[in-house]
Amino acid sequence: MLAEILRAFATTQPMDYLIMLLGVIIGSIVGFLPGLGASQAMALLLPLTYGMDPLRAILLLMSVAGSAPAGGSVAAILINTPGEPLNVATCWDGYPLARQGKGGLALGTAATSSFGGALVGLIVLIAILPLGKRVVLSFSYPEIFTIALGGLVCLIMIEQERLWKGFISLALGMVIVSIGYDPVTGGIRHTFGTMYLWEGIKVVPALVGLFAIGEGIKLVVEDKGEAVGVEKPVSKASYSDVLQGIKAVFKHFWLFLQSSVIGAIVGIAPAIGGGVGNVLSYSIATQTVKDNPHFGKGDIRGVIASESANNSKGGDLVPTVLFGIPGSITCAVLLGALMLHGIQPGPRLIIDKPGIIYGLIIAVFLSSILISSFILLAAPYLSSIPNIPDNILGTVVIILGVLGGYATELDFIDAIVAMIFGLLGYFFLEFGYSKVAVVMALVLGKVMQVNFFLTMDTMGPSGFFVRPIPLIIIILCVFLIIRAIFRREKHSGEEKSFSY
Amino acid sequence: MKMKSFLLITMVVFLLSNTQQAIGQKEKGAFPTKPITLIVLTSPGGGWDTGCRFVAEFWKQHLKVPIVIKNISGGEQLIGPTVMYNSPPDGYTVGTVSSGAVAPVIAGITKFDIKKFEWIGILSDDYYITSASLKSGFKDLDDLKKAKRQILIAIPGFATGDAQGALLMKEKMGLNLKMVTHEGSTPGIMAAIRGDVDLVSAPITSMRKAVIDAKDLVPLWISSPKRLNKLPDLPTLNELGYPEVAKMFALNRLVGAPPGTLPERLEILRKTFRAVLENPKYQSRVRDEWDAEINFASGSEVTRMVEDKITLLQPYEKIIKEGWGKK
Repeated sequence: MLAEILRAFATTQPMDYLIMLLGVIIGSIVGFLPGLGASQAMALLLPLTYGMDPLRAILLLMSVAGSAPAGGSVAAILINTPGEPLNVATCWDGYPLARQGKGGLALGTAATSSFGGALVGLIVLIAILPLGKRVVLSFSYPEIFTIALGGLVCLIMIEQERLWKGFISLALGMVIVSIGYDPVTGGIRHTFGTMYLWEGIKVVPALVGLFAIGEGIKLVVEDKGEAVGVEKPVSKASYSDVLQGIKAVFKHFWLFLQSSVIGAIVGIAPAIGGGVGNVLSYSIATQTVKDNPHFGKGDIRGVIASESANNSKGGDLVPTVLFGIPGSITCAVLLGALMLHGIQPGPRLIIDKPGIIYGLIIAVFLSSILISSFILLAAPYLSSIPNIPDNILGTVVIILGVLGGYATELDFIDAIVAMIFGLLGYFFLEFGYSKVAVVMALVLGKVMQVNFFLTMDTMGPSGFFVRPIPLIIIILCVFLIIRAIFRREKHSGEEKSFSY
Repeated sequence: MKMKSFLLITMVVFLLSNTQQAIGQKEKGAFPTKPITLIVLTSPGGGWDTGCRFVAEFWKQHLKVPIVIKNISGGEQLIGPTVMYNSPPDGYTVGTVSSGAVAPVIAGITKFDIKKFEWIGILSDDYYITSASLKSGFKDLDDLKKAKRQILIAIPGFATGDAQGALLMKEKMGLNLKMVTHEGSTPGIMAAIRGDVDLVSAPITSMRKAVIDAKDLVPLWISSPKRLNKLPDLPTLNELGYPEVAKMFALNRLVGAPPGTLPERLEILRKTFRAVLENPKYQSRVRDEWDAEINFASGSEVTRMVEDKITLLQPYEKIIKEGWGKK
């Protein structure tokens, strides 16, 4: 297959590159702007692709999809604003690094991890395609439930130094996620008679509010040139800082590989949601690295964990290509585009139209190179954004956050939700509660609920213990909890604090 | 003084009547003169969105103005129709409504009266294939009737033809079914392919890959009036003696306008929409690329079809209300 991809590469025309460049420019802009994401841009571009050759349409759309997460990492690092749920975990260490004057380092790492993650994802895609459906079919309800459970257990491990506040935050997140249509019972919960809440609280306005607007309020209210627990930046980054960022990925190569594979695996499991990969990878990283006290305060490994996972696009493409079932919202739009161009995804696609698969792979690969190169080149200039006076930066971030909340679906109520979550984010920062726990509940809560009840309905409780993947994850979770209890007793006198 | 007041009042009345006339003339004037918004009840991608983009491409050529697709998803596909229902009835906002919306209407939880929409036509009809997982061992209806255990059937939310069809399968066909709710048709199909559930019913557009191309599932019957060319041995529900169940197992993608839309504008919308459906180029694209069926139903025919579905489901009001968590 590799030889065929290389052959396809050789036949690409200059016009193909121009189209991909256009896709990358659009993708990086929508990725950077809060609230907007690849799926919205792809949907807007769909009508423009009607008259195009199908392969070129795919190149354009996949270039947008391939570059938006990396564009989002820039906003997450520099202004604490996740463009999409895909980038939320990048904020947790990327932003503190930027505030410490290490924006160049963080951007260098993010760009390299993004490209590397995309590459690993494509390798996974190429490796899995011939193995076919068995891999995708091995993910049933108990597997998805226990993967999400593993993420939550890892979170509790990070939060153990302020366990009660972590639990309260998690509980609040679970209450928020229970709003709306209950996919298990069919009931409508806590909507106060408004139809807006039927679909529950939308993740993007909530995340934009919690992180961007919350931080913006903090900057404006305090106006001390400081964010919680981090220092004022001192100087503009140089290319040597960016180079250090690139080197960091190679220094923590196993973490990078682990995170990329997690991202790809989460992508393969259909209907698990785009925001899960980076959050899960981050949580697991906190437990697998040797010492973790700097996580959440500006640990470069946090950026590697998030950015390698969110760009591991190949995983999403596996169920899309093999079953015609989208692994993410961007893949859903891609599926629509394929159908509009008369291409039926599914098991015969690789036999009937292999060029389309190669096009997908080439577009993701080249767009990742282009966007990562652009970030690396621009990093020293971009990294001076946090040097803007706090009150101005805070105001801009609040405005961008509110607009971002609105832009998601052009719904005014989304902007109000973003503002409410902004206030919540500010109070969380003030009183030391965990925004990460809320995010974990928002991202994983419904996935866990649905898959727990589906397991019970179809397999009974034994479903969690007779299948290898869930059993291994449950054993690992028990091991982590026991280890944490012992560590807690051992280090009970020491003080640690995390500032997410 | 009295004369002055009289003259003033006369002038005001004259001005008002002229303004009214001018507005009336403007409303009766050329239509459309600005872009028309087409509200799609799902997010981008998927059958609804694809179908609307197909039709918009052709419809704009007849209307001579752009058609802006606005995806308003969520709330079991009810938020989009609600927004459309409450939009100004000036003809510039039209939208999609699923025939599956009759169940929530019966449950009394919608914020619109489905009978009050001004129907423009039907975007497409999609029929359902009911299939069994390879693991289940079921090969036909007789196998299902003889089953000594509970049969698990995957359904998406309750506002869908899938769920309402499954309800009628249980009640009218006497099958021992347990409905297992999934988040959408596709996770349900995957569950059946894995063998986690025994049965799944889904529109042909969603099911064809699993049934026709890959043979991952065993097709049991189809709800369309006639057999599928690609599956000539597959019986229809009518042939099996269940025409009422077949009626419920049809996803009609309805296109309508807000209640009270100006009649002359509605007529233009209906006429141009019909012209799109009759366009051979559009027909071949819909059938070949989208795999859906075109139905040339007029506004009144759509109203009658919606009323039929309500009548069919009304006896199960209690079950439907329980399904929506309303006692």
